[in-house]
Amino acid sequence: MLKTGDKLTGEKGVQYTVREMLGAGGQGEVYRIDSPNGPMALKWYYKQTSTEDQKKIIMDLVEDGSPSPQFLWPEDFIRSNSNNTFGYVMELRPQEYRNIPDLLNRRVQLTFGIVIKAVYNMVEQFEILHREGYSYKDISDQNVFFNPRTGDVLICDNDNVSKNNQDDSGVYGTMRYMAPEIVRGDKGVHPSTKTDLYSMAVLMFCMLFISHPLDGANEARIHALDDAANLALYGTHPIFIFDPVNTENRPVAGIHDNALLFWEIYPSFLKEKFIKAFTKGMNSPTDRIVEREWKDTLIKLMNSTIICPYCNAEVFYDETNEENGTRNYCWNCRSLINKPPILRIGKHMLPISSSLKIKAHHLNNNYDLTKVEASITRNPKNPSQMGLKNEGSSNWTYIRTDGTQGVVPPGKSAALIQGIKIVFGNETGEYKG
Amino acid sequence: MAIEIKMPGGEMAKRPLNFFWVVDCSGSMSVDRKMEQLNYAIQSTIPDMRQAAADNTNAQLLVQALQFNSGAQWMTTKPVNIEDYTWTDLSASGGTSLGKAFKLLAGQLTIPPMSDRALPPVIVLLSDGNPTDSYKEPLNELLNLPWGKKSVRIAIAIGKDANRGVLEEFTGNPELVLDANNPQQLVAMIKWASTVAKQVSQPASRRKETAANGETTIASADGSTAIQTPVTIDLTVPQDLGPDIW
Repeated sequence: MLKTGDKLTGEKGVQYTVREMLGAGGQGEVYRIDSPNGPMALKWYYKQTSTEDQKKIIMDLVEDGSPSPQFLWPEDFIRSNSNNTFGYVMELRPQEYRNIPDLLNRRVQLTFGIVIKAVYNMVEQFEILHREGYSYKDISDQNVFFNPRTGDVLICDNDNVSKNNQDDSGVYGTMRYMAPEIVRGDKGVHPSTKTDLYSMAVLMFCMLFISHPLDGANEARIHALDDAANLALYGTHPIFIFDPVNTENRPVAGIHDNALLFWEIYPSFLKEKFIKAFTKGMNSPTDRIVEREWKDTLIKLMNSTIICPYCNAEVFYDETNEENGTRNYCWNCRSLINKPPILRIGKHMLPISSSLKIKAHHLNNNYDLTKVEASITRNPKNPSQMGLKNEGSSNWTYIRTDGTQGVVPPGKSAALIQGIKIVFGNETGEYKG
Repeated sequence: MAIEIKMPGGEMAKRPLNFFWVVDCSGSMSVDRKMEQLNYAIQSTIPDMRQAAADNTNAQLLVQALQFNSGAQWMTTKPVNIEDYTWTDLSASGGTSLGKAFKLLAGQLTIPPMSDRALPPVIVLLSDGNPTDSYKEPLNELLNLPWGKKSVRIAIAIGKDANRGVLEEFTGNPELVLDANNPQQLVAMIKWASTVAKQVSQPASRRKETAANGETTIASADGSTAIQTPVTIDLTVPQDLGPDIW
C-alpha cells in the first residue's frame, strides 16, 4: 500500500520516510520507517480495516502513552492525504526477539529457567496493562515475543487494547485462546480483563507444558477440527486435561505426549494453580487467577529449581514429595535427588546451592528479582563451610543456635549452620541443613 | 560452566491440513499467457505459506497439486510438507477433463491416504472454461466423502469464458467463486486463496454481532462478509489490488 521513499507526516508534525515492508497480516501491513529518532515501525491499515473505532482506539493509545517500555505501543498517528486509511508508529522489535511459535514448534531450544522467566515477565506486563485499566482482548501465541537469552518479553499488536469493558475494538480473540464464554458468544459478554486472564493462563500453560490445556481425549476423538468442533472443545464443553474430578479428557499417549511428560516434571503447587485456573476459573470468570497469584507461583517455581548434581539438569524440588514419601527424581537422568539444605525466608523456600542468589524480593516481597541481596560463599579458612554473603547495603543480625547474636555488615559472610537465623530487616531467614 | 540441559519433549501436537491446488491446464489456458501467470502466482505464494506455517502451532501444512487437461494427474505422488514444497511449472494443451480431476481428488480424500484426524482440507480449483467430460457423478462422489463434505472449497474463475455455474456446483456457494479477469486479479485471488489455510487452522478475531432480529451472527472483525463453511471464511483481502493512491 505504501512505497519505499513515501514521505509521511504524523499528527505531532514529525516527518517519516517509508522503507521496506516487514510483513502483512489480517488488518494491515507493517513497514520499517525512518524517523528523526532512528528506524521505527509503521503499521498501515487496509481500507476495510481503517474504521472510525480503530482510529479512535489508536489516537487514545497515542495520547495515553505506553504503560511500560515492554509494549510496542502506538507512539504517533498518521492519516493518509487521500483515502481515509491510516496507521501508527511504534518501536521496531529487535532482531533477537523470537515469537512464541518458535518455542512451541521447538525451533529455539531453551532451558526451563529462561522459559519460566519469559512467562513471569509476560504475566508482569499484562498486570501492568490491567492495572492501568486496559484490557488486551486478544492474548494468543501470536502477540508476545521473547529474548531467548534473557527471557525478556515484548508485547506487540497493541492496537486492540482499550479501556476495560469497552467493547469497541471489534476483536474477539483467537480460537483456542478465547475464554469459553466468548467462544460460545454468551449474551452481553465481551473481551475484558477477566477473559484476558483466561487467555493468559492458556498461553502460560502452552509455554510451560508445550501443549494445550484442553486438548486431550475429546480433541483426539474429533476427526475434522471444524467450527462445530472448536465450539464444543473450547466453548460449550471445555474440560481441562488434568481435571481431577472429570477425567474424560486426559491427554492421549502418542498425541499429547508433552502434556504427560511435563505434568510429571513440575511441582504440585504449580499444577494446583493450573487445576484451579481451568476448573473453577473455566466457567466462573471471577475465580480466574490474577497476575499477582501467578507471579508468586512462578517465583516459587524459580526458587524450587535446583541443578541435578549428576547431570546438571534443572530439577524442581517439590517439598510435598518428601512429605508424602514419593521423593524427588531428576527428569533427565532419573537419579534420586536428596533433600537439599534449605534457607527459609518468610514464605520463600530456598534450596541452597552454590549458584543461589537471594534477590530483593525474597527479603522485601517487592517483586524486584534483579537486585541481588545475598549469595553463597565458602569460608576461606574452612572451604567445606558454606556461608551467606551480604551483597546489600545494610547490616544483618546473625542469631546462633545458643541465642547469641552477631552483626553481618555488607560484604561479609555468615556461616550456614543447622538452626541459625539471620534477620535481614523485614524478614528472618532460618537455615536447615 | 555447567552444560545447559534444555527442556525435554517435542513440538506442540499438530493436525495435518491438506491444501490442494486443482489446476485447469487445457489448451485455452495458453491464451494471453494465463498459464504462465498462474504458474508465477502460485510459486510466489510459497514463501508466504511457509512463513504462515512456521508461525502456526496447530497445523502441519501439506500441499499437493493436481493438473487436468485431456486427463488428470497429480504433480507429486504424495502431499508434501510446505517446508519442502516446490512448484513445477505447468503447460497448457488439450481438453478440460474436470470429471477426471474430481475422481482423482476423491481418491486422495479417502481414509487412507487421508488421516482420520485432521483440519478441514482446503481445495482451490482454478479453471477458465467448460468441462469436456462428465463431471457430475465424480463431483457427487467427492462431495459425499467424509473429508469431501468437510472440505473448504474455493474456485477461481479465470476470464469471462469460465463456467461459473460448474464452479458454483463445486464450491456449493457462489461467493466462494472468485473472478480473476486480469493478471492482477489472478495474482490477488491466488494469494488470498493460499491464506485460507491459515484461516482454517487459526480462526481468529471474529466478532459476534447481534442482528436486528436478536440472533447472533458471526462476522469478521472489520464487518466484511464471513462465509459459513466447515470453518468460517472471511472474504476480505481480494479488494486490495496494487498500490493505494497516495
